[in-house]
Amino acid sequence: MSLRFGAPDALVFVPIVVLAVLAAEWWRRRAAGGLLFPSLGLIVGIAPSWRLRLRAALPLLRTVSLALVAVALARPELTETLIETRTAGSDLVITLDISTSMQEQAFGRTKFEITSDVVVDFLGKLDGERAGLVAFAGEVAVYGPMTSDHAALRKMVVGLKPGQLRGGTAIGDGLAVSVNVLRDSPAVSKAVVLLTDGLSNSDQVKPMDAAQIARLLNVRLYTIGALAPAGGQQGIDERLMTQISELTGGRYFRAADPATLQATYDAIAQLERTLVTSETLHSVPLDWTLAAAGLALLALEVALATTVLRSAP
Amino acid sequence: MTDGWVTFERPAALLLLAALPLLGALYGVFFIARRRALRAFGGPGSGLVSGSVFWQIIRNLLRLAGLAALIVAIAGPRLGHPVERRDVVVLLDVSQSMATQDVTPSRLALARDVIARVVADLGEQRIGLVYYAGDARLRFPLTPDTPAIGKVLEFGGYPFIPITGTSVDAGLRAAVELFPPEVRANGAPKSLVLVSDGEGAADSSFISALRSEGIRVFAVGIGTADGGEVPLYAADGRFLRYLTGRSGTTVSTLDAAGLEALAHATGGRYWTYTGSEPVPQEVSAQIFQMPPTEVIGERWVLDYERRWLLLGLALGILLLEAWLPERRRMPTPAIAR
Repeated sequence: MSLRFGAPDALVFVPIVVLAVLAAEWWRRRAAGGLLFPSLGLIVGIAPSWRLRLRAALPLLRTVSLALVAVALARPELTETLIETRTAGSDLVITLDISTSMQEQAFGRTKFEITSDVVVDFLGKLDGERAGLVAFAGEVAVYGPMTSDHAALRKMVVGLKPGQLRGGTAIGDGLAVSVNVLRDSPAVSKAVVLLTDGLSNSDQVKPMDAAQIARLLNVRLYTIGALAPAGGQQGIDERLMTQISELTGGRYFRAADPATLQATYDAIAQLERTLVTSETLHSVPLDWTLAAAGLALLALEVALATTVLRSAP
Repeated sequence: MTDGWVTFERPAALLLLAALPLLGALYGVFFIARRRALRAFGGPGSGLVSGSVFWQIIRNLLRLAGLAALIVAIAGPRLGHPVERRDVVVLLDVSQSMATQDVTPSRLALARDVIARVVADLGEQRIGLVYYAGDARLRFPLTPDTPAIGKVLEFGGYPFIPITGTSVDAGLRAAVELFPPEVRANGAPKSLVLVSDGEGAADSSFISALRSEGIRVFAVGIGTADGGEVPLYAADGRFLRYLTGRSGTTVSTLDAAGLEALAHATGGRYWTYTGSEPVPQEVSAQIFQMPPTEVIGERWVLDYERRWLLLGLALGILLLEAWLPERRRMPTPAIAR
């Protein structure tokens, strides 16, 4: 615990107030009210009473009480440094393949239903991160810009439907648009998490070109080959996915079943979660305590000056 | 906007204010006792005391005022006002006729411009966005992250533009459904901002539903009475041709009367926007006049950071009191000749 002042400049008032009160007292003694009295001879030799001696304490009480109020003006605080660990604010774009192949059945549901549930769960676990939502098939659309309103994005994910966009699978275009969504992001950590179940076949921007752009903009690409066999004419080009991910410092994940898909998103969340240690000051204000002490001393001064230590005229 | 409020961190301290009348009474007793003591000491000469009754009373009053200010400062006053939030749904017409360029650069571009400005003005409200043409689509749910709505507008409409045609009722229905159930149920007035060229607005059969839900339509008409030809574009943005009908090229005009009738029927207002009028500010001003959906916090104009004002006032009064004179001007003795 240490003592600090919220407005240390105001401490300049303390000596000013002390001097002002003492000067006022000195001036008052010089120019105090009096009574014309013919002779002081009658009271010469009378020793000063205890009350008269105690009256000298009244200016002292007034000075100390106003000095306390002046110190309170400087907002004294008892402070304690607290060390906190929190999640750094990274920006993530969730990029989903909503080509018609995502309507295919897998594990008793459509691939998109499985993906949608996992992504909604993933968004629900985000903390300090902002997220955006991009979907692609043969064309790309930004469904959600970067936002901290994860609930709104979850609603947008639920509203996605395979077939909403023109047919095809344009992975390169999806990556390029996702990176563009992050172009104004002030976040230190930026990443795109792209999920697809197939081969890129209708790109205007080649996936490797999109990865180069991402690398230039410090955006990591995480790619997920989901719920589909690797290789083959319809399968996922795992070599390309790995290349574009590793070029940007990201990683390719293969998620053949719903449980692995869930674990994959959780792993990406962990990879992107940067823990930052920060120090915050916890302070207890003392201004009102000092002001209350000043008030108490003032009250004592007034009580004494109007009762046992009262004077005339 | 509800009124501001004052609260105290230590309201018990205000009880000390009750002691001030007692202190005033004590001053009265003290004053009488002092006069008696003077008379006892000075006899008839006590009338020649140089202490001023007037200044003594002023000093005592100042002391009481200083103590009162100090007590209020110790009680920790906080003066502020509630931060309110309103739910606002924006309904944007994205039908083909909105591509018409009878306003610069086009109706749709102006519509996005007016919405972006209204959203920026609305700040901490919760805003949702619905697009409509032949059908309606949710573009973004109600969100307190209003800059996100501005970004949504930047990212364009395709593929959120539904099937061709213009169905105002489909748009209004989707917009109403965007209000949370608890907000719809409370019956309080709610704001719906409709930005359109008015096509089909005059035929809306959804007005009674809007009225029963307490939804006021603030309609902004985009376009001109003379209108213009409706351009058709390819998916990649290339201009193809102008829309034609049986009688040749189709001309789309602003149906201000239809939009105005729709807005007025719900208790709302209508504006025409061509890019230069202060319509965005007037729309947001109307929305701010609507009752809030919820109170989400407090904003203080006087709190711990600014309490020094009261302490400074108390200190100033008490210092002034210390410096005030107590002497009165004494009569000048006559000089014997």
